[in-house]
Amino acid sequence: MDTCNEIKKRLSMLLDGELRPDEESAIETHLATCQHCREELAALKNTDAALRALDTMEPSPFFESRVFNAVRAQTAKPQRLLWLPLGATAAMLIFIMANAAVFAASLPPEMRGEIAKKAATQLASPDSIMNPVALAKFCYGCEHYMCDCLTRAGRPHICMCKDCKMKKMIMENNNGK
Amino acid sequence: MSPNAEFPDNDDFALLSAAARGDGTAFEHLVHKYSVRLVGFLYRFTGERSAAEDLSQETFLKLYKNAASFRPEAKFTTLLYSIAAHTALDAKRRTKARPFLSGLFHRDETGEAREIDFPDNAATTPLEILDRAETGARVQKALSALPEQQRMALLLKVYEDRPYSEIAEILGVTVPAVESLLFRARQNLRTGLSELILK
Repeated sequence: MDTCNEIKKRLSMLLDGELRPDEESAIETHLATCQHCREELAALKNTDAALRALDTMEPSPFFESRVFNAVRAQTAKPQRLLWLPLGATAAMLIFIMANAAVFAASLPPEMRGEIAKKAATQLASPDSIMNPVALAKFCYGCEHYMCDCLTRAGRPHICMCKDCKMKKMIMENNNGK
Repeated sequence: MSPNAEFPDNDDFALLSAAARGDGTAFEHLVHKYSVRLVGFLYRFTGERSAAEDLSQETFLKLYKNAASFRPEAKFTTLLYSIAAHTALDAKRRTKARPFLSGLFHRDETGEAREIDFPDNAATTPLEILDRAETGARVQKALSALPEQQRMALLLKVYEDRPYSEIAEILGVTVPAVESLLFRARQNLRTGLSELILK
C-alpha cells in the first residue's frame, strides 16, 4: 500500500480527475482510514475554493475599441514602413557620395580616375544600392573608405590607408606562399 | 457590437481565417466573444486591471498578426490561451514579484477539517463587504507570490478547468510537468494562506 507521502502527491490529481480508475479507487480506500490525508485533501479543496471566490473583473468599456484601434494601426504600418528604407537609403547615398568626393580629392590625380570608375561600378550594382554600407566600408578601423571594395576588385594598391589591415593580410598571405 | 450572425459561434478558426483575409468584422467578433473571459483570466494572473487589459490587447494583436499561420489542429481556446500565457509569463518576468499573505480551513467539533465559508457576492453590510475585500486581497497576494508557471497552471486548472493535457500544450511542457506544477502551486498557495489554516 502507498504511504501517506505517496498519496499526498496524488491528491492534486485526484482533485482534478486526472487519475486512472484503479488509482482513484486505491486512494479513496486509503482516505477512508486516514484522517491526515483527508485533511490534506480538504486543504487542497479549500485552496481552490479560495481562488474561485476571488472577484472577477470585466474589461473597461473601451477595451474592445482599444484592440480594434491597435489592429488598425498594425494594418496601416506596412504603408508607412515602405517609405522609410527608401528615404534612409537616399540619405546614406548622399552621405557616401559626399565622403567619396572628399576622399577622391585627397588622392593623387592619376588614381582618381580608377577609383571613380570603381565607385561608378559599385553604385551601378544593385547590391550597392541596396546595401550602401558595403560601398562605404571602413578599412578595419583606420577610417578610410572603399578599401574593402578596392581589394575585392583586385586593386588593393589603390587603398590609401597607411596601416591597412587588409593590405597586411594580403601581404602576409603572399609571403606565406 | 453584436456577433455577426453569418459566422457560427463554434467556428472560431473560420473567423480567424476570415480575419487573415482582411475581414475586420470577423476579428471583431472573436474579440467580443473572448475579451471578458481573457481579461478576467489575466486579471487573476496579474492582480491588476491595467496589466490584464494590456496583456489581453497584446494577445489579440498577436493573434491577428499571425492569423494566417494558425491551423485548426487544436482547440481555438488552447491557441488563444497559449498566446496569452506566454505573453503574460514573458511580461511577468520583467516585473517584480508582489508580497503575499493569508490562509485556509478550520476544524469542526469532531476535529475534522472543514471548509471555510468564503463570503459570497451577497455581502451587503459594510463589514461584510470589507471582510470580503480583505480576504480577497490576501488570497490575491498569496496567488501573486507564486512562481509564474505555477500560478498560470493553477489558474488554467481552477478557473478554466482545462485537462492536464491542454495545460501542457498551452504552457509548452509535459503532462508530468503539469502534475508537478499544480501539486507545488497548491502546496505553496496553502502555505501562503496559512493564517486561516487549522484553527
